[in-house]
Amino acid sequence: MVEEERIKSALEIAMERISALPELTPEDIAEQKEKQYGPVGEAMAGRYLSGAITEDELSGELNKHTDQRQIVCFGAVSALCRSLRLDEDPEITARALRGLDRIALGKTSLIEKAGEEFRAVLREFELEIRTQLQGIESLVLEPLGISGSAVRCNPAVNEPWLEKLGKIRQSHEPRLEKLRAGLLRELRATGS
Amino acid sequence: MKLLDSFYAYPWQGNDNNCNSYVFAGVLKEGKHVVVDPGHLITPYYREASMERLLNGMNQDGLDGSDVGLVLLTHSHPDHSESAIIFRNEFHSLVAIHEADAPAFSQIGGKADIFLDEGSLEFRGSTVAALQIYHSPGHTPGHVTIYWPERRVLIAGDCIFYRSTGRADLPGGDARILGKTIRRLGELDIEHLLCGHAYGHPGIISGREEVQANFSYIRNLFY
Repeated sequence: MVEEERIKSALEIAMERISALPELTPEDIAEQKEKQYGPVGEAMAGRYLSGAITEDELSGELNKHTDQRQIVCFGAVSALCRSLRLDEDPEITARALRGLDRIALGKTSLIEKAGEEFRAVLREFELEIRTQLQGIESLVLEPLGISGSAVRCNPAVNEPWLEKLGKIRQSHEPRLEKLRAGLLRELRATGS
Repeated sequence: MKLLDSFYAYPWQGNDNNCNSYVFAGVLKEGKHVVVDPGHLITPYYREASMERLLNGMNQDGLDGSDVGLVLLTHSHPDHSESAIIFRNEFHSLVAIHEADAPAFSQIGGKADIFLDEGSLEFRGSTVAALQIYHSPGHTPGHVTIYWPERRVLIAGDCIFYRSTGRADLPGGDARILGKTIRRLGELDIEHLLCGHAYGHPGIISGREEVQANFSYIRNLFY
């Protein structure tokens, strides 16, 4: 007897297609979890950096994710590392370092070392800016033949200066990127 | 209108509100000029072409607007500063304003190349050797006045007018601070008091006694 043909429901078709898919490998599962929970940690770090929550609150929020704590923490650590930038507000970078220290319990020396290195890069960057900025005064005021204590250049609107600033930033950026990547790698390796 | 050697005044004569403008002629390198408070581009209510009038006035005195190398702004209000944007964009003039007024200036699209602080502004190789910039807050937080000690000229912006003072009720204004500023300016040796507006008077007060009488009148009436 021929089996009676019948129209399948959309659910049945979908279920058939799903069952035909290959099984997820452990790597796939890990990647999916990272995509799902990483942004949770990043968002928490964003709230912390904006001053909406304190270090204690950040730590408390991260601890709520008992199942996926490691992934959520790593999302937060990644976001905090990304905020270590040359043109960032110094208060934000100090906050990011404090946050990293709190999340990466027991890794204080690692964070301190990274903080010192970051401050060293920042010092060199600022020193170069100060040195180069002295030149801008003559670049702007000299053509007009003016000088005096009442006039001070505003570099923020000076196109040649902004171009130069971009180049200075570019020259320091690789070192900073290396520092960020190294810190992230070490924190991941130690399972923070 | 030539007021002194190398110095011209352009009192506003329209119907709408706009400021008086002043020009130090040929004091910059290559004979370029300094304009103080070029005013509105076009006045807001009667749509008077105020910048065009300023440029025409300068032309009549043999001064070309495209030769303006520097615009000094006493403060950020558009009736003083709006045309500075055109001078910068069209004639590549640099614009100078006190840093405290720069944010308000940027709200109307203005960009400050130079920040003015209290101190001296020197012109190398010019008949006008130096000007003194005074931080004179009260009307706005970053208001400055410009004093030419050699000729005892004070460009007062909106601190002081003929028998009156600038408003202190606009954002950033402070009547108490304005009073302090006026008392301080009253101690200067002034032969020509050049006001920011021609309110009921051209706004150019000449003669030490006249100037002092104006300061006394204001002190008695307001402070």
